[in-house]
Amino acid sequence: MNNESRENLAYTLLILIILIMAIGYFIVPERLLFLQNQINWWKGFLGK
Amino acid sequence: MLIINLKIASYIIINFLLFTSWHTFLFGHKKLFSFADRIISAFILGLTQIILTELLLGLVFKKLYATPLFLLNFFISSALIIYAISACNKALEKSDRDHLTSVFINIIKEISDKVIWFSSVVKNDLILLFIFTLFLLSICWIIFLGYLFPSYTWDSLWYHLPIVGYIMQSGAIQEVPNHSFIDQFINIFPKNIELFFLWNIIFLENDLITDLSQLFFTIAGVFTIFSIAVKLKINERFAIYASLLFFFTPIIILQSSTNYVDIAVSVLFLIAVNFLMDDISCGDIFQIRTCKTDEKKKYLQKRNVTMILAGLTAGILLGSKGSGPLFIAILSVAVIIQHAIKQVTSSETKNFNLKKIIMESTKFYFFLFFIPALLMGGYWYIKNWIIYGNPVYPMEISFLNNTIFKGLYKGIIEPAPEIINKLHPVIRPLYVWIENVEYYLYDSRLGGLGPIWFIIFLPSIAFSFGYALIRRNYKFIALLIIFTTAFLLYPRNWNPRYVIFIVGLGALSFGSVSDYFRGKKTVLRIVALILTGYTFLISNSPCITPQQIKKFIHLPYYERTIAKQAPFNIDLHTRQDYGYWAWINKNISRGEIIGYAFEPLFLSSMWNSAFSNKIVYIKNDTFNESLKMLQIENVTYAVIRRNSKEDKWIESAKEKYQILFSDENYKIAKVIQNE
Repeated sequence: MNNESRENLAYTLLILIILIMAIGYFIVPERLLFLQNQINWWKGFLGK
Repeated sequence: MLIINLKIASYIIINFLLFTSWHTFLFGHKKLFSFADRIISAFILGLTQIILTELLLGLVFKKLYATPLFLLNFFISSALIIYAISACNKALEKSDRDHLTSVFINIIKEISDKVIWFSSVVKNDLILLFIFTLFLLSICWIIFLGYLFPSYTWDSLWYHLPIVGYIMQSGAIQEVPNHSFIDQFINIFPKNIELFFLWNIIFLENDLITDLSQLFFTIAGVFTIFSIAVKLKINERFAIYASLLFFFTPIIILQSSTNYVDIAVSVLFLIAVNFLMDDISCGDIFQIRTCKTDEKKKYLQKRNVTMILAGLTAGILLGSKGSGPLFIAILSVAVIIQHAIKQVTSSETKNFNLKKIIMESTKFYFFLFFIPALLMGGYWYIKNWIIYGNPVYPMEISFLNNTIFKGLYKGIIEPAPEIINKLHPVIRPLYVWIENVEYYLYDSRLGGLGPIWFIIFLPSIAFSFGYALIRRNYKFIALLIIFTTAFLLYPRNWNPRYVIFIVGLGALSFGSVSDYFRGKKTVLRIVALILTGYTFLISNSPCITPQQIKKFIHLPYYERTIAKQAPFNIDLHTRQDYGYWAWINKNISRGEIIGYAFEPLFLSSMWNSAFSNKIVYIKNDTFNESLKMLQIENVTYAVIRRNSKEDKWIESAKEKYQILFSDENYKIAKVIQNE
């Protein structure tokens, strides 16, 4: 395996881990309520 | 109007002079320091001057008032700027003075060159341009909220601002009588950052912008991450990415407009580490013997100066929070080891003398790091040691079941959330980092580091560590060891606000990873942009609602009180107090003395927004004693709890009191003093 292939593999692995972390972060039970609170905040701010 | 303008003018003049003088002084050493390091150094030296002058006036002369403080700093900064200009001119005579007309034009030219360079970097990277735009918008938003709302946060009202109030009412930094639970903490807490809060009140004669004090540290933190990244040889474009992403941490955004000290503590730690890092052009810390003689001389000169700066920074940190000694211990070990390694590797022969190296390193550490650190932060601990027999009183210090310093408490008093107690210590931070929260607060305990930390920075740390090991990047490994040690040793490291510095490590790792993969597609940077935008949109706290913003925007500043804001974080505990708080803020003027005989939840609200009145505790067993004390203390107003014994006394002696305020819970009476 040459340097470039190794680099490509490492990059793909990093993006994959980031994706898994993102899924893990956004699927926690409270996230929906958190987002709802923030949407309400912005609705109030924008006067809707 | 003229008086208000004079206050604003004095505040602007003294700050401009103070920071310009240090920046001019450092401009004369621009060959030794990068632009970012000079900005950070000017901030640290300016802060050092503020703290030392306040300590001098407050401790020695007991005259810590606006005029002496202004004059003393005006004198010091004027002398410094004259010296700096003459030193700069002398230096320029030797080299390229013909091309330059004056020091200030050169300083302005350098700043404009940096702005042009920065604009060109940002303009050529659309993603960076978006992130920088969001950064600017966030800074404007923080300033707007800090200006619009009073200081409403729990610890600010509980002890950070009362510390300021007690100093301002007496003009002295001294112990206060111990009447309540919080008074003992007001006495024992180190107060360096509170002295900076005071600096942002005393000239303006109001607390309008003191809640923005930590924003200066936030911006210094952004510069620091950039500076460290450049020293790690990360491409400057990615160093900018790293520094801006460091900012997009919800707890940093939310705390930047509060009178807390957590950002200050973490940023001071980052700055101290930055000063410990070398950026020598002729090699690195393990290769200075390859330097030419003049380069080596320049390096040694710079090393001594940066070590003093690291010591001053660490000292300010030591005097900012009770956890300061932990950071000092870690930085001390880092300084000694770093110097010992340099001694070993710079030896021309392999026959080095271990004893000599240890002695040299200890001497170097003691004079260049320990003494400046002790100067800036040691006072608070020495004072506690003398008065209470324990430098960290009321905490008890034990080692192997032997009590070294006796205290009242053996651990952190505030209980941890139940969910945290149930988790294994290793799992606790992970649980908090995944953020099972419904909203963020300035002191969020179960969240606050945000999605960028968890999603991008954590994997980046792992990747950049592996990369550093492969490339033998010892600087990065040393950095990782320092931050990880501080994180692991910090009690309650699961609490995000105590370990903000760890985000700095994440940001640097992201910079390193981005730099390594710079030839790849932009997926990593796009993810960073999306999460930055997300953080920008969701870093709102329920303490500041859209309704409150709309209400406050139409009010003059003297009506923008906590009572009108009724913030979510304290409202349940304090709504019964709002009446007398608002009355004090509106009616109590300079020099008035408020007497009280109960234990208020937040002492802060006993002072007006200028902190220009005095407060005195007047609890007594009998009416006559109480009357006598009112006279001795020259009390002009008494705040009384309804149905207390004091309430009954004033009802029975109406000729001595004039009730001016009354609600369901409190009364405020003007005391009619006998001639």
